[in-house]
This record gives sequence, C-alpha cells and structure tokens, in this order.
Amino acid sequence: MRKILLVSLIALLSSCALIDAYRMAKFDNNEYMLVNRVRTQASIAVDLCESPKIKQSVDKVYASSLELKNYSASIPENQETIKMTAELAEIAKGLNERYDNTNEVSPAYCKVKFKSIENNASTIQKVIGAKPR
Amino acid sequence: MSTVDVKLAELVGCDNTNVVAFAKQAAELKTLVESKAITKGEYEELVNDLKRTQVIASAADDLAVKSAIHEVLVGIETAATALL
Repeated sequence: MRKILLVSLIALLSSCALIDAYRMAKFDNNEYMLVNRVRTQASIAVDLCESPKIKQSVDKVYASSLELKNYSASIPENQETIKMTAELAEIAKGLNERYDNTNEVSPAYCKVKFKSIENNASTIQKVIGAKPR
Repeated sequence: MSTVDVKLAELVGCDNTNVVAFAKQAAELKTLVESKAITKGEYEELVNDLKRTQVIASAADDLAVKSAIHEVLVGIETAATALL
C-alpha cells in the first residue's frame, strides 16, 4: 500500500512538472532586449570605475535592471525568470545605494560589482534566449 | 592557512563549475578586503551578491531543464498529430 502511494505521489509530482514545462512562458523579444541592455551597459561601465562620470553609468544600469525586473514580473508561467531578474535588480540596487549614500566608493568594489552584474546578466540572457519559440 | 582558506581550496578543486566559480570569487573578495582594496561594508555586500549569483545560477538551470522538457513534449505532440 505504501509503495502504491509512493509511486502515485511520484507520478503526480512528475505530471505537475510536465504541465509546468508545457505551459511555460515562451521566448520574448523585449525580455531578451532588456537583459542584453543590462549586460552591455555593465560591460561598458566596468572600465569607467575611476572616472568622475561613473554615477551616470550606475544610474543607467540600475534603471535598466529595474525595467527588466518589472517587465518580466507580470508574465504568466515565468517563475524562474522572475526570480533571476529580481536578484539581478537587487545586486544593481546595492551599487546604486552605495553611490547615493557614501562619499567614497572603492574602485575595486565598483569593478567587482559591474563584473557581477555583467556575468549574471549573461547567464540570464543565455537561458532566456533558449526559451521555446 | 585559516579554516576558510582550506575550505575554499577544497571547493576550487571540486567538479561542479558553479561551485568552483563561487570559491574563486569568494577567495578574490577575501584578498581584496585583507589588502584594504575594499571596505568591510563593501565586502559584506559583495559576499551577499555571491549568494544572489547562486540563486540566479540555480534558477537558470531550472529554466534550461524546463525549456528542454517543453521541446520534447512539443515534439511528441507533433509526432502524435502526424500519426492520427
């Protein structure tokens, strides 16, 4: 009896996973464009960390990451992308807050932070680009 | 060598590419804070970012698997439709 229950439970869980996969959100041009924008802006900004104009780049990357998070948030069956874009926006938010609230930001921190945003955006872009058409 | 250094060295030698990347980044941050290239507050934030990076990597793996399953299901559906 216990074995039958276990097999039924496994079958039920597997079928839920299959239904989730079948109904998942499809490839979205705008979502892909927005994550590409974050990645590109971060890759340009990483070389400007010692420039006095860096705050403009920080603002741009933060605004783009927020735009991506907000865009993906209301798409149905999009749980994984929603989770990834929310985390990416939090990483960018930390950078923005530090430049807003601190007089001196270490160039090494700035470089690691932009590199992290670029790498994470690249990870997201890869899987968003491979979503079913 | 501290316990943290030993653990990081062990992780760098493991098979999982995500874990190796995590360990290398953690070691790099430790070097930066010890050499005072970054402040303690910046270090703490960057360590939190490493945790966020792990969440992103894990969700990306889940999405990749889901996309692959979707393609298989659509393939089965197309084949079934052709047969009927």
